[in-house]
Amino acid sequence: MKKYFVVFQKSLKSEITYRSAALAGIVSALLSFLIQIFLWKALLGAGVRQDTSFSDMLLYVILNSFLLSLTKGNVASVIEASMIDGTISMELLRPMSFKYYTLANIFGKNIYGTLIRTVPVLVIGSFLISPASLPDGAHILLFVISTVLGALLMFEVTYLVGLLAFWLQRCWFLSWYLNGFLTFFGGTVIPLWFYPDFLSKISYFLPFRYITFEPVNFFLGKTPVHSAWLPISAALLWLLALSAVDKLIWHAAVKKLAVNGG
Amino acid sequence: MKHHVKLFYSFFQVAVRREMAYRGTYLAGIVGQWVSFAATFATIYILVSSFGMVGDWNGAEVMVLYGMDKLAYALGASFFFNFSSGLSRRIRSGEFDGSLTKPIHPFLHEILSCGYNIGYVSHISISIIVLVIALSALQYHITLHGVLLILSMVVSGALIQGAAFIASSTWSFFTISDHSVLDLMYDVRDFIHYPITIYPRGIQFILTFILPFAFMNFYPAAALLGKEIPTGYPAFLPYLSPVVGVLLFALSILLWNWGLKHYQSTGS
Repeated sequence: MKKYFVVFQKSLKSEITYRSAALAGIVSALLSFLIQIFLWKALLGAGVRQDTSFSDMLLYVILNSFLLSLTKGNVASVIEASMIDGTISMELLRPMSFKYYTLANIFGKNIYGTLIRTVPVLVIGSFLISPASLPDGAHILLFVISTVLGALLMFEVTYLVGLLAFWLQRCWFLSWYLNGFLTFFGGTVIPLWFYPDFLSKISYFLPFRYITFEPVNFFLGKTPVHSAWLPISAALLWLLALSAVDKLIWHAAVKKLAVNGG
Repeated sequence: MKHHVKLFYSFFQVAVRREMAYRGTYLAGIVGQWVSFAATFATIYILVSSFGMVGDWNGAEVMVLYGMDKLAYALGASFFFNFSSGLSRRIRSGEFDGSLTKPIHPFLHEILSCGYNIGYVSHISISIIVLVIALSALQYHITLHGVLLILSMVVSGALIQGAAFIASSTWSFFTISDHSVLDLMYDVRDFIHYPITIYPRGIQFILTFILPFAFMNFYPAAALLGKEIPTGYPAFLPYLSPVVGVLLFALSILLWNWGLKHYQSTGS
C-alpha cells in the first residue's frame, strides 16, 4: 500500500510545478461554468422541471466536472508511449502491480488539477446555489460511497480500454469511443432524467451511469435511501466483472509481449 | 499561383500517404469520431427538445447552429490545426528554422508542410449529415440562393476559424510554452454551441465584436432561419460573415508576420 502512496505523491508533485497550466485550468473551468450558468438559466429560469431547479443543475454541473476531472486518464496513450520507447519492460519489472501503479499515478496526476478547477467554480457557485439543493447526512454518506465506487469504475473502464493498446499500432482513437459512450449513456453532460424513456432504460444495463450520474443523484437527493442498494450494487457488480475481464486481458497481453521480445 | 497549387497538391499527397500508412487506425479513428460527435449531437438535441426551446431556438434549429459550427470549424482546422498546435514544438526542436530557408514565404511553407489534416473528414461528414437532416426537419425550402448562402457562410466560418488558429499560434514566437492560448480559444468557442441570445449583453458583445466567433454559426444560422439577433444590433449584421471572415484572416496573417519579425531562434 505504502509504495502506491509514494507513486501517488510523486505524480502529484510533478503536477504542482506547472504554474501556468494551473492558471489556464482556472480560466477554462470558470468559462465553461459560465456557459452552463446561462444555459440552465435560459432553460429553467426560476422554474422546476422533472423535479430539478436551476440551483440543482448548477450542483449537477459542478459535481460532474469534479468527478470527471478526478478520474480522467488515458491509459492507452501511456501504454502506447512506453511500448514505442521500450520502457514497458521497466514498468513490468517494478515490484508492484501495473494496474495499481497506474491507478496511483492517474489519481496523483489528477487531484491537483481537479482542486484547481473546482475551488473557483465552487466559490462562484456558492452565491447561486440554494440550501434547498443540499443533501442530508444519509445522502452525503451514500454520495461518498458511490463516488468512490464510481471513480474506481471509471478507472476500470479506462484501464480495460487502455489494455487494448497492446494489440493496436496506434490508439489515440480509443478515447473517442469511450467519450461517446460516456457522454451519451453516462449522463455526464445532460442528466439522464431528461432522456426519452427507452434510452434511460438502456443506460441501466451499461456501466457508464454508475460513474458520475448515480453519485450526483445521491447528492441531489434524487435517489431515496431505501432504493440506494440498486445503483451501489450495480456499480459493485460492474467493478467485479470488469476487473475479472481485465485480469484475463492482462495475462494475454503479457504473453503476447513476451512473444514479441523473444 | 499555379506553382502554389502544384505545391499544395504534392504536400497534400504526402499527408494522405502518411495517414494511410496506418489505414486501420485511420478508419477506426473516423468511426470513433463519428461515435463521439453523434453522442454530442444527440445529447444536445435531446436536451433542447425535452425543454422545447433554448432562447427561442428549437431542437432542429440548434442542430443547424451546431452543425454549421462543426462544419466551418473542421474546414478551418483541416488546414490550420496541425500548423497552429505544432508551431511551438517546431520552434523548440528547430524544425521551424528550416521553413525560414525555403524559397517560399515561411508562413506558406509552414502551412503546406505541416500537412493538411485529413482526419477532419469525420467532422465534415457528420456535420453535413446533421445539417441536411435538421434543415429537412425544419422543412427548409432549398433553393440555389439558399445553397450559395450556406456555402458562403461555411467558407467565411472556416476563415474565421483559420484566423483564430493563426492568431493563437503567434504567441509561440514570444514564449516557449505549451499551447495554452489554443486551449483558451477552445474554451471561448464553446460559448457558440448555444444561441448567443441566452447570454448577457456583455458576452454577446464580445462574441460579436471582440472575438467574433458568433459569425461562424449564430449570425449565419439566424440569417438562414430568420431568427432574432440581439436587440439593438443592425439587421444586416447576419450577412456580414464573409466580410468578417476575410478581414480577420488578413489581420491574423499580418499579426503572424509581425510575430515572425520578433522571433529569435532557440538555436537548437
